[in-house]
This record gives sequence, structure tokens and C-alpha cells, in this order.
Amino acid sequence: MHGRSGSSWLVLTLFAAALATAATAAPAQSPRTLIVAAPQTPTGFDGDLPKVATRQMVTQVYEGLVRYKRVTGTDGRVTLDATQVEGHYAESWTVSPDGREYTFKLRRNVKSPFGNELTADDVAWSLDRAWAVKRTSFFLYNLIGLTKWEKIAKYEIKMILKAPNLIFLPMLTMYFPPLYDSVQAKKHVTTDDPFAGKYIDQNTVGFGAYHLQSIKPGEQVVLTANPNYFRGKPWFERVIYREVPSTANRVSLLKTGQVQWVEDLPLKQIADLKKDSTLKVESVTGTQPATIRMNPNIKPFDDLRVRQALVFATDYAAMNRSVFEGLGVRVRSTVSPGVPVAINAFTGERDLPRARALLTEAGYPNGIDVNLNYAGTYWWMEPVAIQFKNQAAEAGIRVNLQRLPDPEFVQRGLVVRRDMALATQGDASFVLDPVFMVWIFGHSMGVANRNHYKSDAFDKLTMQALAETDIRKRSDMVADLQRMHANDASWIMLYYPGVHQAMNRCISGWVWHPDDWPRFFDLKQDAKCAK
Amino acid sequence: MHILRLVLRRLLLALPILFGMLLFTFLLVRVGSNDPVGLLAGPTASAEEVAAIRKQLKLDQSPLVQFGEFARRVTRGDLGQSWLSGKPVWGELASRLPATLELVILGGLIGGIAGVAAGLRAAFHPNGWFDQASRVVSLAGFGMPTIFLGLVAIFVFFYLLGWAPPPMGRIDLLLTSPPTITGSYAIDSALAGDWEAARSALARLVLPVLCVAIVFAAPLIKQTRAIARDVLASDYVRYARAAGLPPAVVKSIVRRNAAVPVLTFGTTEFIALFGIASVLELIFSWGGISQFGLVAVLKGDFAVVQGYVLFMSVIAMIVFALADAVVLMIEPRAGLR
Repeated sequence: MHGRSGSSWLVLTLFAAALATAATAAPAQSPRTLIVAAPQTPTGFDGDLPKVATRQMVTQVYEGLVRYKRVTGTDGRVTLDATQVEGHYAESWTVSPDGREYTFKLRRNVKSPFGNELTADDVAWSLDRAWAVKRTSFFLYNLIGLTKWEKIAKYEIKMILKAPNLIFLPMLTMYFPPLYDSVQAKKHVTTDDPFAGKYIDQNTVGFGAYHLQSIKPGEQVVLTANPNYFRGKPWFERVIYREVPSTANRVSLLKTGQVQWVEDLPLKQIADLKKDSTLKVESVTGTQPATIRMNPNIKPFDDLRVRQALVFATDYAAMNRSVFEGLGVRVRSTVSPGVPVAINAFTGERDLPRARALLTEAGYPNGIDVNLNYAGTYWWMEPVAIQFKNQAAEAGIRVNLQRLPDPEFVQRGLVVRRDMALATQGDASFVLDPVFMVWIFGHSMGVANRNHYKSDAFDKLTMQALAETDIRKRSDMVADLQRMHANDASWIMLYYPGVHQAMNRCISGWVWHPDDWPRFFDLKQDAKCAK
Repeated sequence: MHILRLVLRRLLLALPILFGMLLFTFLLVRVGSNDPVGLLAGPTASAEEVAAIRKQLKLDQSPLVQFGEFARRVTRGDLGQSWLSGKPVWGELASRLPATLELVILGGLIGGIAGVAAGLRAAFHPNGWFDQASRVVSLAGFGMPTIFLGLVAIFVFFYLLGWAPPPMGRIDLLLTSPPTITGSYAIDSALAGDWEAARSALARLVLPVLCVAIVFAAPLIKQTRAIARDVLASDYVRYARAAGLPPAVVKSIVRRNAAVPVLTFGTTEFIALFGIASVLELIFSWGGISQFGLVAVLKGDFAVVQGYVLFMSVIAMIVFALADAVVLMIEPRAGLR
């Protein structure tokens, strides 16, 4: 027996040694390939019907008729100017005197990887499709009053609104409605599937810088440069988007140079990486406020004093230190910093005596019991909930934490449901427009108004602001709206965790976009590193 | 023929268990207001859209009708659609199974050989240096959380020493995966004559397979030792020794008599490896079925969880039936019990 077990160990050792020898050799990496480590690979590519990680991909494939103007700062970094929109797929546009009709003249030679040129037919088909599938694009553009579109000429299309609306152009900077190469898409149309839904879900048919080359579910997606892209070939000819679920591994891979770009790291890791001189971390505030929201239609939050008590029970500075690693930027209103007319609508700090007094006034001298729902949709939700529980206890607010599965949490925040009394929430605004932000966060039918804040006065003023074309009047309205929302205290305004992009130190050119996803076209690799 | 009958009987006995699992997984989705409609409809859905999807999924019907529909679909191999990806669960599970099987079978094989060999040797030389050392190894394997074991392995062998390839899946990013024959990248690449891919796939197996092997071997060492010690203390072994049989023959008797309980124990542990593998697959970005199931649990994709539980139940039953057949081959009297 001795001899046999000894042989087993020998076999095992030889096996391990053989594998270890094999491990040492690895193929050389192509310098024009960008390797991205991400928590998940996409499962669908239809921008209007997004699934897991769809947005990361469609932002590389579908681009807008217009875009925000780029501004180069004194430090050489390029940022978006939220006040100016310039042509992209559209070369120019005109607006009718009544402000309702926009006629876009399309740029020539904007071609898809299939060689088809962008025409008014493509834009019209894409809008037809959006209206047929009735999802994100339809919802947003229908709400702002886009009612009709018509082809004027091969390279000219007119879009007609119910009423003038200054949000319309900034909204067109987004990647939706995705503008499809309808010539290619129509090849996959069937009677049951008149808009090639199945094909578009698993393929890309855009005019953008990249297109889908291959997908291995759960492993990786490979994007390759569109050889016909109208702005020229991107620096990175290929992007390998690799699934690496473990955060620790994504960090290790970046540190060892195995990947050049890492997505979705918690702030703890970001804070550590910022100290590492061999890497680069670039940060912006972003548009996604971390908040705890109270539903004013559900007891006890129908009482303003209770809502205010929670607001004043929160220790903001401690929250920033313990959850956001000191990197957070305070939320002061529903409009993100950096967007025109963002004001400091809420400037309060922790005030425990005031919180207790408000509770007593509201009829809760012995404190109050509340349930706080949260989920894993954002990394900060659980630590924020735990911190808040401890902080609120000092004001006599006894918080019972209830973690929900992500799907249930998402569903309960939908406009059609909104039945959580108290919940952590974080939504980003894809449009850098103050009216858009107050509208989605505060209007009673706003898509990101997940706590069902409802005020007739707020709704009325929002609709007026949406239709107002006088910039000054519009700005005054937006300032009033921010103050109204803050005074009604349905949000505990915490911090913007920020958008922090970790990358290899040789990568440059990252431009932050409001949807938080990079455009790989912007990225370049230092020539010295490429050798 | 006798063995085939036994396996068939075992599989027939599994039918009520499968029905129970079907009911359990059905309830799993319905308990705790886990409703896919919100996810499928998207954050901007109108009430009409939500109602239409609810009707389409037949969620507007009674639970009994829903269960009947669910059972009918399952018998046709339709496990529904993932709430997150919208893809058929069956396809998602089947495409990821080979990755897990490759990991678990290889790890189980190495861990099994090493664990049983070490356990027997420790039993034959109690309290010797090998026995003491194997106890320490076994205890460490037991006590160390799998995720920690995997992360430490990556930290030491990839990050510090640079011996292991990056924990980024089953094959180098820049290589093409082979056409599927067996589902194992290493074997399929070799069969396709792509030696670079085969070497890359083999290299990426090292750390995760060794982690699985350690986790599997730890309890096996301890259990094999205990079983073998019991056999050594039995009357028939004492008689064999007293009769003057050579030590090699006595050891052979011990091995043969310890085989059935060790195999039974090993089978249970082997099934558990699929669960354990989920954590290792996650940190090695393996893309297997266990990782898929774990992510579904974490993300609340209960349609996948439901399918995963059912799928794994069937695999467990097949493995147990096969183990019974092997037991019968080793010990024909087992069929009479």
C-alpha cells in the first residue's frame, strides 16, 4: 500500500508540474487590442430593450444625430459642455419659427460596417421601430411630445413636436433611439418579427465606431472597429470585453497589466488604486446621486416632520468617510453639480435635537420604527443602509433593514408600483439638462421618481419649464423646482459616489458621458507603452 | 443486467423526488413576491405593458394552472426564460455545463485519488508522521473557506510569483476556443490539433482544479482513515492476521471492505462539489453552470435559479445511480439489501 499511495502522490506532483510548466507560456498581446475586465458580459444588444450590460455595448455601436460639444480644459482633459449641442450624424439642423419642427440634414458618408450609408430612411425606420416596441425611446420621446417624423430628402428628415421643448436636442445626444442600418436590419425581418427584434438583440447594426464580432455568453464579447466609421478608425482596433466577476481579480489583473481597463470597482478599491503610481484613476462627479428616499404617500412619511426628522438624523460627514471613502460630493438638489442652474437647495447638516423635536411634534415622542429597503443594485446601498440604521438610532428612529432581491427591488420602484416606504435609490440622468433632471426625479410620472413624490404645484411648474423657451425664465423655474423638492424633504440627499475610471497608466483620452459608459473610440494608448 | 435493473429502479424511485423538486422550485419563484414582470418590462413600463407581460407569462392565472403549465413545459425541456437575459434557461445551463464538468471531474479525480490514498496510508500507519501531516492538511482543507483558498492561490501563484496565468477564464483571450466535441477546451483543442490553445486551456485548469482537489480531498482523507481503521479493528481482519496472512493481503482485504462506504461518502461529497465550484468559478471567471447559478441567486434571477436547482437535481440523481451501480460491482450483495 505504501508504494501505491506513493505513486499516487508522484502522479499528482507530475501532473501539477506539467500544468505549471504550461502556465508559463502565454501568447503576446496585440498592441491595438483593448482588454476590459467587467463584472458581467452583455446578454443582449438591443438598446431599446436593454438586458444585462447592454448599455456598455450599445454606447459603442449607436450614436446620436447630435452630441454635446467637447471642451479641452487647461489640464488637457476633454469634457462635455452641457450648454452646447453640436452636430454628429446630423451635419446641421433648422428649427421652425414656432419651435416645433426640427429638420436635420444628415452628414454624408456615415457608413455602417456593412457598407450602407446612413439616410433619412434609417432614421425614420429606427423611430418607427421605437414606436413599435414601445420601450425606453418611445417612453421618453413620446413624453416630450415627439409626434411625427417624415423624410424630406435622402439626407434630410423632419421631426415634429407637439409643442416647443428645449430638452429635445439634448435628449438626441443619447444613444437612443438607436439609429439602425435599416438596410441590413430589414434582411432579418419576418412576419412575426417586423422590426428584426431577434437579430438586433444578438447582433449590432449601427453606424458607430465598433460592431460586434463575437460573443461567448458568460465569458467575453469581442468588438471590432467599424472600418467605415465616419470619424476614422479608432486607435484600438479590437476590444475584448471580458467577464471577471471578482472585484479583487479585476484589480489584480489591472495591476499586473493583463487588462488595460477595469469596470465597476467599489470606492475602497478606487481609493487604494489612486495611491498606486503605476496606474491611472480618473474621476468625475457624475449624475447619479446616492439617496435614501421616503414615499410621502405612505405613513409615517406622509408627515413632513417625520421626513425632516430623518433628514436631520443623518450624519452626512460620517457617511462620506465610512461609505464613500471621503470621495463623495454632497447632493444638494435634484440637479447634478456642473449642470446649468444646479443650486444648493438643501444645505442642512445633522441636527439630532431638531430631529427628536420634529418626531415629538409629529406625535412620536418615544421614537419611531421604520423599514428600510435596499438591494445590491449599487455597491453602496448596503453600507449606506447599515450606516443610516446606526445614525438614525441616535435620534430615536429604529430602522429595520430589509434587503430585497434585485428584481423585486427594481420592480417596486417602477412608476406603476412605487410601494416602498423608505428605500435607498440611485438613478443617473443621461441628459445634462436641469429640466430633464427635475422632471425625471420629481414629476409625479417621472421615470426616476421612485418614491412617488407628488406635488401638483411641482408638476405644473415642471410642465411649464419643459415648454419654456426663454432661457432666463426657464432657469428661474428650475431653481424654484429644486427648492420645492428639497423643502418637501422626500430625499435624504447623501453623496454622488462619482464615476471613477481605473485604467492602465498608458491609456489616455477618456471622456465622461452622462450615461457613465466610456466610448472606446476616445481611448488611445501611449506609443511608448504600445511597443 | 442486474446492474442495469438496479440503475433503472433507482431512476424510477427518483421520479417522486423530481416531482417534489418541481413543486419546490415552482414555489421558490412565487414565494417572497419575486415577480419577473418588473424586470422584463423595464423601468419605464406603463401599466398596460406590465399587464400584457403578466398575461403573456400567464401570471394572471391561478397558481394551480401556473404549476400545470410549468410542469408541462419542464417535461418538454423548457425551463423558461432568464429574467435578466431573456434567453432560454435550458440553453444557458447546457452551454455552461461542460466548463463545470471539466473542473469538477478533474478536481474530483485528483482529490479523490489523493484523498483516498492519503487516508489509507494514514490508517495503516496511525500516529506516524504521515498520519499527523495528513490530519493537518485535512483540517486546513476543512477549515479554510473555499473563496479564501481560491483568492490566496491567485494572489500567490498569479500575482506574487507570476507562475499561473491570469484568472480570466478557460483559455487565453487572444486564442480561439476549439470547436465543441467533449466540452473540455483542453481536450477539444488537442483533438483539433491546436496545441497552443490546448496548452493555454490546460494551464488555466491548474489552480482551479487544484483548489477543487484540495476541497474534495480534505474530508475524504479523514473519512477514509476512519473507515479503514474500523475495518482494521474488525474481527475478520484480526482473524486474517491471526491466520498469518501476509500484510499486503490484509491491506487488500481492508481496501476492499472500505471501498463501499468510502465510495458512498465520496459520491455525496462529489455532488457537493458542484456547489463549492460556484465560488471558485466566480473568482476564476470560469463561466460554468455553478457560477451562473450563484450569480442568478445574487441577482435574484429566479427563473434561472429554478432551472438550475432542477438541472442539478437531475445530475445528482444520475451520479447517485451510477455510484450505486459501481457499489454493486464491488459488492454484489448490496443489491440484495
